[in-house]
Amino acid sequence: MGNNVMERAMREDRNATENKNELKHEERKKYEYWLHNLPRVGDRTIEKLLAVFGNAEQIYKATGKELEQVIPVKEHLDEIVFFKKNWELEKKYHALVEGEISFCTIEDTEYPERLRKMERPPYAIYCKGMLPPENKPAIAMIGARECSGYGACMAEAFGKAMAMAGIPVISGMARGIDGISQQAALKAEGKSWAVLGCGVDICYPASNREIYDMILESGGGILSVVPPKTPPAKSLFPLRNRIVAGLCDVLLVVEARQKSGTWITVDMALEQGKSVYAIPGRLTDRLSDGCNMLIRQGAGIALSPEDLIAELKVMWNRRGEKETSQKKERKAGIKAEKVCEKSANTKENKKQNWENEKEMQDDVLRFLDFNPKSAEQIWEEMIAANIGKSLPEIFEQLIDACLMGKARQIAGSFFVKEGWD
Amino acid sequence: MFSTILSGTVSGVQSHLIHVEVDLSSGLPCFVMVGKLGSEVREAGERVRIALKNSGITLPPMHIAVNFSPGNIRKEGTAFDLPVAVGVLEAMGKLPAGSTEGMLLLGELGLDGVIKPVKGVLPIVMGATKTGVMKCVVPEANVKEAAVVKGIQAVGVKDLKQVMKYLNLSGEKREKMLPWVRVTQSELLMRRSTREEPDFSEIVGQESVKRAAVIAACGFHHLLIVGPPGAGKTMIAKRMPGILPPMSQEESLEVSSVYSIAGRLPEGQPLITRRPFMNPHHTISAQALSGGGRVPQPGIVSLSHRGVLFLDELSEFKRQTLDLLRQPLEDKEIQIARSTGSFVYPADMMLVGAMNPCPCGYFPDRNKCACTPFEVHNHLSHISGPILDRIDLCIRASKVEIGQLQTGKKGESSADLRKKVMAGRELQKQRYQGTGFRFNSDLGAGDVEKYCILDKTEREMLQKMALAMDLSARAYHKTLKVARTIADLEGSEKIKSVHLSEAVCYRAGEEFYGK
Repeated sequence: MGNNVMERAMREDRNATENKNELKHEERKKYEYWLHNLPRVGDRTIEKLLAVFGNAEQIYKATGKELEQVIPVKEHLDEIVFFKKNWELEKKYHALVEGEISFCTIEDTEYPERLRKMERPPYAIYCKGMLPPENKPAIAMIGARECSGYGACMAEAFGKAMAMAGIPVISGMARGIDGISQQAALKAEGKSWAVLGCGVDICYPASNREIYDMILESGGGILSVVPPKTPPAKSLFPLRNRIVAGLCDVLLVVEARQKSGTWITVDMALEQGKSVYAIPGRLTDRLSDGCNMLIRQGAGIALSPEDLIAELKVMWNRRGEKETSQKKERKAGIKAEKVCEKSANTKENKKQNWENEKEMQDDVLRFLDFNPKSAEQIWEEMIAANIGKSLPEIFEQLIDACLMGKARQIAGSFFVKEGWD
Repeated sequence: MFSTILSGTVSGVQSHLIHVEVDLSSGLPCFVMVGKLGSEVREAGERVRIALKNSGITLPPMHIAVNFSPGNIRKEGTAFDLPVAVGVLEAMGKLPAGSTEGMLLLGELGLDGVIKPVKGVLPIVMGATKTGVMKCVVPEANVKEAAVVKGIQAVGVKDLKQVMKYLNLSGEKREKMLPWVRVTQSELLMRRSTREEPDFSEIVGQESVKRAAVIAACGFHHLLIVGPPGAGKTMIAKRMPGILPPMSQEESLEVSSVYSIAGRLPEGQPLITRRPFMNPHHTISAQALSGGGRVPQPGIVSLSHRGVLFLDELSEFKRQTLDLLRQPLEDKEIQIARSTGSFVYPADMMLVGAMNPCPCGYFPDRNKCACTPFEVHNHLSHISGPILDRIDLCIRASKVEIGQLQTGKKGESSADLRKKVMAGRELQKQRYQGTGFRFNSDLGAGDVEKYCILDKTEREMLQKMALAMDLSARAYHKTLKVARTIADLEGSEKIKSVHLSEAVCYRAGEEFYGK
């Protein structure tokens, strides 16, 4: 009896301290949120202010005269004072909480370690959903917005494989490679994190609404370094790319032209000491020029998802000290191994099946490509290869292939190879 | 003194028999015309008076009243000049009574008494014969038109003096003076123009487009050709009328009626013997396309009745203009409503459309096309859903390579293709005998199930395809219709899976409907 009372009292005590700590935490956050939203005050200025005043609350309580030392320009100072007057601390912070957006500054323990390691880590990061896990290797997949059928296929295959190996996929949720990789990962029941060049409450591009929702539903997260309701702007994208590079351990470039925005992200990743891999492509495809160039300049070559996963595993194991428990690490490693085995097996099986069908199908599949081809083109190529079938027969075989899932119909009479075996 | 003359008018393609009643009575001299008249008819009074004077007849100073009966149909046009003049002459006693018994008169008068040609003679005469009229007097330039109609004795006249002389005679003497013109219809239909018709054999490659064209011609399906510039879309469309079967007499009369009303019958050719081919520029106005004007005239859509309406650069047409096609494509006629009444023109044509797949023209070839999906969708959405739904066949044309052009290989000729089309049409004729349908394209969603019967294996396959390719209900029925036509072309009573496979390749892809 006595014990129970004691226990209850201890519990209540603990709760009280926790609550007090929580309150202190929330108070601090309100000031930090205000600080992060100051007009024309970037991370550098925030650094300076913190150096002088110590913490956000002190900065808030400082007078105009005191702030002058850090903000010499009179108009800017006036702006800040005006801003403070019109900023309702409580209301604004609660709006964040209501919108289920968490605001994480560098002073919080939850702040991603990978970002902390950056040369100039962002002061704060907004997050809808969960923050990326610290105990799993993360891969960023980026590439062209206007990708080819080949690029789309690779993005899907790699995205899916990463998900099955339990590796989070990070990207910018843009049209093209970004979106396709993330969607493939999500569909394979993996988790994905998207870093946006706008507020986390805005889904940009709108056409990727489905991905936005799926990310949140599957336990991933939408991240941004700009406050909510900030509309997307060109100037914000390099900033976003820096975070994508920062949050990953390995950057994979799926498909990119020689001149592409992807290079900015690659440069940032290299600056941060991350490994960069690229998927090679055909010399005749302009969309593979960038990737092939990268490989020549020394980037790793990604020849299959399994290879890349194995490399990731090795890299991750070597890091060791980041793991919270050795067991977890082994689990992740074993899972990756199992996936490699599994896909190796299916590879064999698929090859066998394909060879069987080849005899039955008589080669229409041979002439299919990742880039859409018209039925007529395929027919002409087959005639050139001395396979004398009539056009209606070709149509029949192509539709059969579609029904078997080996091809896909695009635009009526164009067909594209489906899947990668 | 009173006289009645038979004449006629056309509203839409509907012709009406009009009785022109002339009465001379004592009273203040005047010339009054009543009977819901258009402005051109009102002017007839002046023309008649002067034409008579110049032909040697002075109007008596009496109250001359002219009534056009029935009084509730609006009368338009200048064809009433002659009937009014003859009516006046008969009422004056200058012509023997009964000289115009059972005779239809039409013609415009010049001030010197010359009789000028008018529009719409063919449909008016056709309508008149149905009411028992057996003779007609029309301007010389229009006599062949009138002569074409079965059961009419048509006489062509030059001027008022000639008419008076003719009508003063009787019986055989009339025949001697002005024999009625005889032209047999079969003669006319055989006498095809010697002008060189473009031939399908001139087109190199593009086998799949040619095939689609043949299928379209066989089942009278509407066709959309999508492809980059230089693919030959226009060339193929121009050769489409050449593979359609020749017009029947009935069709020829229909088309000629429309052309007669529009005043477009070529000189000296009373019947249109070749299927019309209309290729309006994309800047055409809505009214010119559908027909209209204060006094409704047939539009391009009606002028391509029983023939091919080719709309090149479909994406350049204004959306509202294209939307006008909805009614004609659905009902095969077009209704134009005006304050003067509602007119119906036939519009049973085959639509052939050509367009680029995207602003640059090379979608879905990713190596050449840099258009965003939004741009592609925007480009294609010019054609509204309802219009696209009525187009059964959509084929992609690819650019012809120079190498291909130089092989010198010739394709099948139009004559050969036409034979295939006609064989396929025979099967359709047999199938639809006794029903209201003529071609597979006429079938509605409900009838498709009835006439396009599938065996178990084929039915399962179609269901598999519907699932795997996400076919909508419309697409499902369209595929069946097209498969039916393909089977007819191959001379097969049953629809086989190879026909189904081919049919599903002719659907407009999902890029048209957007995501």
